[in-house]
Amino acid sequence: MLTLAKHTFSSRLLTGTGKFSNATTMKSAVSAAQSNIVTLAMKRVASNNAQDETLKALRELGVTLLPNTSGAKNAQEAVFAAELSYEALGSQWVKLEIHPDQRYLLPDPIETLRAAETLVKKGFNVLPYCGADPVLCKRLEDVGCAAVMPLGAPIGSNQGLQTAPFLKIIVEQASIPVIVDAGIGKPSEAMAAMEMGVDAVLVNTAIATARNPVAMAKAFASAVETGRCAFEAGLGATSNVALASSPLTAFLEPTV
Amino acid sequence: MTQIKVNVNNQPMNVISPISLSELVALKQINVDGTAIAKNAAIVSKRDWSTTYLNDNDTVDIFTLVAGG
Repeated sequence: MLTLAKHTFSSRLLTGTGKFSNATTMKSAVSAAQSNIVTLAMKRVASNNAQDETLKALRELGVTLLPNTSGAKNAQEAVFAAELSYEALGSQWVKLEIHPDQRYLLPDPIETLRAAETLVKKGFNVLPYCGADPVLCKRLEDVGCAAVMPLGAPIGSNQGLQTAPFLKIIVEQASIPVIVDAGIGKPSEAMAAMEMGVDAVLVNTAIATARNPVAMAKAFASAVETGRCAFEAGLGATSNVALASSPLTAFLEPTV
Repeated sequence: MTQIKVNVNNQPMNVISPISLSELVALKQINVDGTAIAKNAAIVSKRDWSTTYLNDNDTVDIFTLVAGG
Protein backbone atom coordinates (compact mmCIF):
# COMPACT_ATOMS: atom_id res chain seq x y z
CA MET A 1 0.00 0.00 0.00
CA LEU A 2 1.14 3.51 -0.81
CA THR A 3 0.59 5.98 2.02
CA LEU A 4 0.46 9.69 1.29
CA ALA A 5 -0.52 12.19 3.97
CA LYS A 6 -2.12 9.38 6.02
CA HIS A 7 -4.22 8.21 3.07
CA THR A 8 -3.56 4.74 1.71
CA PHE A 9 -3.76 3.70 -1.93
CA SER A 10 -3.54 0.20 -3.34
CA SER A 11 -1.88 1.23 -6.61
CA ARG A 12 1.64 2.54 -6.95
CA LEU A 13 1.03 3.81 -10.47
CA LEU A 14 -0.23 7.37 -10.76
CA THR A 15 -1.53 8.37 -14.14
CA GLY A 16 -1.55 11.70 -15.92
CA THR A 17 -4.51 12.57 -18.13
CA GLY A 18 -2.83 14.77 -20.76
CA LYS A 19 -2.29 13.94 -24.44
CA PHE A 20 -4.99 11.28 -24.77
CA SER A 21 -6.94 11.44 -28.03
CA ASN A 22 -10.23 11.67 -26.11
CA ALA A 23 -11.72 11.37 -22.64
CA THR A 24 -13.14 7.90 -23.28
CA THR A 25 -9.71 6.46 -24.09
CA MET A 26 -8.24 8.27 -21.10
CA LYS A 27 -10.89 6.81 -18.82
CA SER A 28 -10.32 3.27 -20.14
CA ALA A 29 -6.55 3.67 -19.76
CA VAL A 30 -6.80 4.93 -16.17
CA SER A 31 -9.08 2.02 -15.45
CA ALA A 32 -6.62 -0.46 -17.01
CA ALA A 33 -3.76 1.14 -15.08
CA GLN A 34 -5.77 0.60 -11.87
CA SER A 35 -4.51 3.99 -10.73
CA ASN A 36 -6.06 5.49 -7.60
CA ILE A 37 -4.50 8.91 -8.13
CA VAL A 38 -4.83 10.85 -11.35
CA THR A 39 -3.47 14.26 -12.30
CA LEU A 40 -5.26 17.17 -13.91
CA ALA A 41 -4.30 20.69 -14.93
CA MET A 42 -6.01 24.03 -14.39
CA LYS A 43 -6.71 26.50 -17.19
CA ARG A 44 -8.89 29.43 -18.06
CA VAL A 45 -12.21 28.41 -19.56
CA ALA A 46 -11.77 28.85 -23.29
CA SER A 47 -15.30 29.37 -24.54
CA ASN A 48 -18.91 28.35 -24.04
CA ASN A 49 -19.78 24.70 -24.50
CA ALA A 50 -16.20 23.72 -25.17
CA GLN A 51 -15.47 22.16 -21.84
CA ASP A 52 -13.08 19.35 -21.30
CA GLU A 53 -14.73 16.01 -20.54
CA THR A 54 -11.82 14.83 -18.40
CA LEU A 55 -13.22 15.74 -15.01
CA LYS A 56 -16.59 14.15 -15.69
CA ALA A 57 -14.90 10.90 -16.76
CA LEU A 58 -12.67 10.87 -13.68
CA ARG A 59 -15.58 11.56 -11.34
CA GLU A 60 -17.19 8.43 -12.74
CA LEU A 61 -14.07 6.42 -11.94
CA GLY A 62 -14.00 7.69 -8.37
CA VAL A 63 -10.24 8.24 -8.31
CA THR A 64 -8.38 10.75 -6.13
CA LEU A 65 -7.83 13.87 -8.19
CA LEU A 66 -4.40 15.45 -8.07
CA PRO A 67 -4.54 18.88 -9.71
CA ASN A 68 -1.20 20.29 -10.79
CA THR A 69 0.04 23.87 -10.90
CA SER A 70 1.42 23.58 -14.42
CA GLY A 71 1.78 26.98 -16.05
CA ALA A 72 2.98 28.62 -12.84
CA LYS A 73 6.32 30.36 -13.32
CA ASN A 74 6.99 31.22 -9.70
CA ALA A 75 5.89 30.38 -6.16
CA GLN A 76 3.22 33.07 -6.05
CA GLU A 77 1.53 31.80 -9.22
CA ALA A 78 1.74 28.20 -8.01
CA VAL A 79 0.09 29.05 -4.70
CA PHE A 80 -2.65 30.88 -6.60
CA ALA A 81 -3.15 27.87 -8.90
CA ALA A 82 -3.34 25.52 -5.91
CA GLU A 83 -5.93 27.73 -4.24
CA LEU A 84 -7.95 27.80 -7.46
CA SER A 85 -7.89 24.01 -7.66
CA TYR A 86 -8.95 23.82 -4.03
CA GLU A 87 -11.94 26.04 -4.80
CA ALA A 88 -12.71 24.05 -7.95
CA LEU A 89 -12.57 20.60 -6.36
CA GLY A 90 -12.58 21.09 -2.62
CA SER A 91 -9.47 18.90 -2.56
CA GLN A 92 -6.31 19.60 -0.62
CA TRP A 93 -4.11 17.52 -2.90
CA VAL A 94 -1.77 19.43 -5.14
CA LYS A 95 1.00 18.40 -7.48
CA LEU A 96 3.25 21.40 -7.24
CA GLU A 97 5.08 22.12 -10.46
CA ILE A 98 6.90 25.28 -11.39
CA HIS A 99 8.83 25.15 -14.61
CA PRO A 100 9.46 28.53 -16.18
CA ASP A 101 11.58 27.20 -19.03
CA GLN A 102 9.47 25.89 -21.89
CA ARG A 103 12.16 23.90 -23.68
CA TYR A 104 13.06 21.43 -20.95
CA LEU A 105 10.27 22.15 -18.44
CA LEU A 106 12.74 21.65 -15.64
CA PRO A 107 11.39 22.53 -12.21
CA ASP A 108 12.66 25.69 -10.50
CA PRO A 109 14.02 24.38 -7.19
CA ILE A 110 13.96 27.67 -5.29
CA GLU A 111 10.43 28.66 -6.26
CA THR A 112 9.25 25.09 -5.69
CA LEU A 113 10.64 25.01 -2.14
CA ARG A 114 9.12 28.42 -1.38
CA ALA A 115 5.72 27.42 -2.70
CA ALA A 116 5.84 24.06 -0.93
CA GLU A 117 6.45 25.73 2.40
CA THR A 118 3.54 28.14 1.90
CA LEU A 119 1.13 25.46 0.68
CA VAL A 120 1.93 23.08 3.53
CA LYS A 121 1.18 25.89 5.99
CA LYS A 122 -2.13 26.45 4.24
CA GLY A 123 -3.04 22.80 4.79
CA PHE A 124 -2.39 21.33 1.36
CA ASN A 125 -1.04 17.82 0.79
CA VAL A 126 1.88 18.90 -1.36
CA LEU A 127 3.50 16.58 -3.89
CA PRO A 128 6.26 18.60 -5.53
CA TYR A 129 7.67 17.80 -8.96
CA CYS A 130 11.39 18.44 -8.54
CA GLY A 131 14.82 17.72 -9.90
CA ALA A 132 16.50 14.50 -8.79
CA ASP A 133 18.47 16.45 -6.22
CA PRO A 134 18.80 14.59 -2.92
CA VAL A 135 19.50 17.79 -0.97
CA LEU A 136 16.44 19.54 -2.37
CA CYS A 137 14.31 16.47 -1.69
CA LYS A 138 15.37 16.57 1.96
CA ARG A 139 14.52 20.25 2.13
CA LEU A 140 11.09 19.57 0.62
CA GLU A 141 10.59 16.84 3.19
CA ASP A 142 11.65 19.22 5.99
CA VAL A 143 8.98 21.78 5.03
CA GLY A 144 6.31 19.11 5.28
CA CYS A 145 5.64 17.79 1.76
CA ALA A 146 3.60 14.57 1.58
CA ALA A 147 6.03 13.07 -0.93
CA VAL A 148 8.71 14.14 -3.37
CA MET A 149 8.39 13.66 -7.10
CA PRO A 150 11.87 13.74 -8.64
CA LEU A 151 12.16 13.49 -12.40
CA GLY A 152 13.64 10.61 -14.34
CA ALA A 153 14.09 12.78 -17.44
CA PRO A 154 12.38 15.88 -18.87
CA ILE A 155 8.57 15.79 -19.00
CA GLY A 156 7.18 13.87 -21.94
CA SER A 157 10.64 12.92 -23.22
CA ASN A 158 10.31 9.14 -22.70
CA GLN A 159 14.05 9.05 -21.97
CA GLY A 160 13.70 6.87 -18.92
CA LEU A 161 15.70 6.98 -15.70
CA GLN A 162 18.49 9.34 -16.71
CA THR A 163 18.80 10.36 -13.08
CA ALA A 164 19.03 6.81 -11.68
CA PRO A 165 22.12 7.26 -9.46
CA PHE A 166 20.55 10.30 -7.80
CA LEU A 167 17.16 8.64 -7.44
CA LYS A 168 18.91 5.89 -5.47
CA ILE A 169 20.33 8.46 -3.06
CA ILE A 170 16.93 10.12 -2.71
CA VAL A 171 15.30 6.77 -1.90
CA GLU A 172 18.04 6.01 0.61
CA GLN A 173 17.60 9.32 2.42
CA ALA A 174 13.87 9.99 2.23
CA SER A 175 11.47 9.42 5.10
CA ILE A 176 8.50 10.35 2.91
CA PRO A 177 7.37 8.54 -0.25
CA VAL A 178 9.40 9.05 -3.43
CA ILE A 179 7.40 9.10 -6.65
CA VAL A 180 9.34 9.22 -9.90
CA ASP A 181 7.58 11.68 -12.14
CA ALA A 182 8.43 12.51 -15.71
CA GLY A 183 10.53 10.79 -18.30
CA ILE A 184 9.45 7.19 -17.83
CA GLY A 185 8.89 5.91 -21.35
CA LYS A 186 8.63 2.14 -20.98
CA PRO A 187 7.15 -0.34 -18.52
CA SER A 188 10.68 -1.74 -18.01
CA GLU A 189 11.79 1.70 -16.78
CA ALA A 190 8.87 1.90 -14.38
CA MET A 191 9.83 -1.54 -13.14
CA ALA A 192 13.46 -0.51 -12.73
CA ALA A 193 12.38 2.49 -10.66
CA MET A 194 10.22 0.29 -8.46
CA GLU A 195 13.03 -2.27 -8.04
CA MET A 196 15.18 0.62 -6.86
CA GLY A 197 12.73 1.15 -4.02
CA VAL A 198 10.78 4.20 -5.10
CA ASP A 199 7.29 4.15 -3.67
CA ALA A 200 5.40 4.94 -6.86
CA VAL A 201 5.74 6.28 -10.39
CA LEU A 202 3.67 8.76 -12.35
CA VAL A 203 3.22 8.01 -16.04
CA ASN A 204 1.39 10.07 -18.63
CA THR A 205 2.99 10.47 -22.06
CA ALA A 206 4.18 6.86 -22.38
CA ILE A 207 0.62 5.62 -21.92
CA ALA A 208 -1.28 8.39 -23.68
CA THR A 209 0.85 8.36 -26.83
CA ALA A 210 1.14 4.57 -27.19
CA ARG A 211 -0.54 3.04 -30.23
CA ASN A 212 -2.87 1.29 -27.80
CA PRO A 213 -3.02 3.37 -24.61
CA VAL A 214 -5.29 0.95 -22.75
CA ALA A 215 -3.00 -2.03 -23.37
CA MET A 216 0.02 0.10 -22.44
CA ALA A 217 -1.66 1.17 -19.20
CA LYS A 218 -2.13 -2.47 -18.34
CA ALA A 219 1.53 -3.18 -19.15
CA PHE A 220 2.63 -0.36 -16.84
CA ALA A 221 0.38 -1.63 -14.06
CA SER A 222 1.99 -5.10 -14.27
CA ALA A 223 5.49 -3.64 -14.44
CA VAL A 224 4.97 -1.46 -11.39
CA GLU A 225 3.54 -4.35 -9.42
CA THR A 226 6.37 -6.67 -10.45
CA GLY A 227 9.03 -4.09 -9.68
CA ARG A 228 7.59 -3.48 -6.23
CA CYS A 229 7.35 -7.20 -5.57
CA ALA A 230 11.04 -7.59 -6.54
CA PHE A 231 12.05 -4.73 -4.27
CA GLU A 232 10.16 -6.21 -1.34
CA ALA A 233 11.66 -9.63 -2.06
CA GLY A 234 15.12 -8.08 -1.73
CA LEU A 235 17.38 -8.11 -4.77
CA GLY A 236 20.50 -10.21 -4.66
CA ALA A 237 23.88 -8.52 -4.44
CA THR A 238 25.84 -7.73 -7.60
CA SER A 239 29.41 -8.80 -8.11
CA ASN A 240 32.16 -8.00 -10.60
CA VAL A 241 33.21 -11.61 -10.83
CA ALA A 242 31.33 -14.85 -11.35
CA LEU A 243 29.92 -16.51 -8.28
CA ALA A 244 28.99 -20.08 -9.12
CA SER A 245 25.36 -21.07 -8.87
CA SER A 246 26.13 -24.78 -9.22
CA PRO A 247 28.36 -26.84 -6.96
CA LEU A 248 31.84 -26.94 -8.44
CA THR A 249 32.45 -30.54 -7.64
CA ALA A 250 34.54 -32.24 -10.23
CA PHE A 251 32.15 -35.12 -10.85
CA LEU A 252 32.82 -35.15 -14.60
CA GLU A 253 36.50 -35.65 -14.10
CA PRO A 254 37.76 -39.20 -14.03
CA THR A 255 38.01 -40.55 -10.55
CA VAL A 256 41.44 -41.48 -9.37
CA MET B 1 -30.99 47.84 -14.91
CA THR B 2 -27.90 49.21 -16.50
CA GLN B 3 -25.46 47.69 -18.86
CA ILE B 4 -21.94 47.27 -17.56
CA LYS B 5 -18.77 46.18 -19.24
CA VAL B 6 -16.71 43.44 -17.63
CA ASN B 7 -13.67 41.54 -18.74
CA VAL B 8 -14.11 37.77 -18.62
CA ASN B 9 -11.03 35.67 -19.33
CA ASN B 10 -9.47 38.56 -21.25
CA GLN B 11 -12.58 39.07 -23.38
CA PRO B 12 -14.73 42.20 -23.01
CA MET B 13 -18.35 41.33 -22.27
CA ASN B 14 -21.45 43.52 -21.84
CA VAL B 15 -23.84 42.34 -19.17
CA ILE B 16 -26.92 43.73 -17.48
CA SER B 17 -26.35 44.77 -13.88
CA PRO B 18 -27.09 43.45 -11.30
CA ILE B 19 -25.44 40.15 -12.16
CA SER B 20 -23.84 37.74 -9.71
CA LEU B 21 -21.00 35.32 -10.41
CA SER B 22 -23.51 32.44 -10.27
CA GLU B 23 -25.56 34.11 -12.96
CA LEU B 24 -22.49 34.79 -15.06
CA VAL B 25 -21.47 31.11 -14.86
CA ALA B 26 -24.99 30.05 -15.87
CA LEU B 27 -25.02 32.60 -18.68
CA LYS B 28 -21.77 31.21 -20.03
CA GLN B 29 -23.03 27.63 -19.61
CA ILE B 30 -20.06 26.56 -17.53
CA ASN B 31 -20.20 23.48 -15.30
CA VAL B 32 -19.90 24.41 -11.66
CA ASP B 33 -17.98 21.24 -10.76
CA GLY B 34 -14.28 21.77 -11.30
CA THR B 35 -14.63 25.51 -11.76
CA ALA B 36 -12.98 28.32 -9.80
CA ILE B 37 -13.37 32.06 -10.17
CA ALA B 38 -11.15 35.01 -9.40
CA LYS B 39 -12.69 38.48 -9.43
CA ASN B 40 -10.18 41.29 -9.78
CA ALA B 41 -7.44 38.73 -9.09
CA ALA B 42 -8.97 37.56 -5.79
CA ILE B 43 -10.44 34.06 -5.57
CA VAL B 44 -14.14 33.96 -4.72
CA SER B 45 -15.39 30.85 -2.91
CA LYS B 46 -18.22 28.94 -4.58
CA ARG B 47 -20.48 29.62 -1.61
CA ASP B 48 -20.10 33.34 -2.28
CA TRP B 49 -20.80 33.27 -6.01
CA SER B 50 -24.51 34.01 -5.63
CA THR B 51 -23.90 37.05 -3.45
CA THR B 52 -20.93 38.45 -5.35
CA TYR B 53 -22.07 41.00 -7.90
CA LEU B 54 -20.15 42.46 -10.80
CA ASN B 55 -19.34 46.13 -11.17
CA ASP B 56 -18.38 48.07 -14.27
CA ASN B 57 -14.83 47.26 -15.43
CA ASP B 58 -14.46 44.23 -13.17
CA THR B 59 -12.10 41.54 -14.32
CA VAL B 60 -13.29 37.97 -13.96
CA ASP B 61 -11.12 34.93 -14.54
CA ILE B 62 -12.89 31.60 -14.76
CA PHE B 63 -10.74 28.50 -14.44
CA THR B 64 -11.53 24.86 -14.91
CA LEU B 65 -9.77 21.56 -14.59
CA VAL B 66 -8.64 19.93 -17.79
CA ALA B 67 -6.51 17.00 -18.86
CA GLY B 68 -2.90 17.28 -17.74
CA GLY B 69 0.09 15.36 -16.44
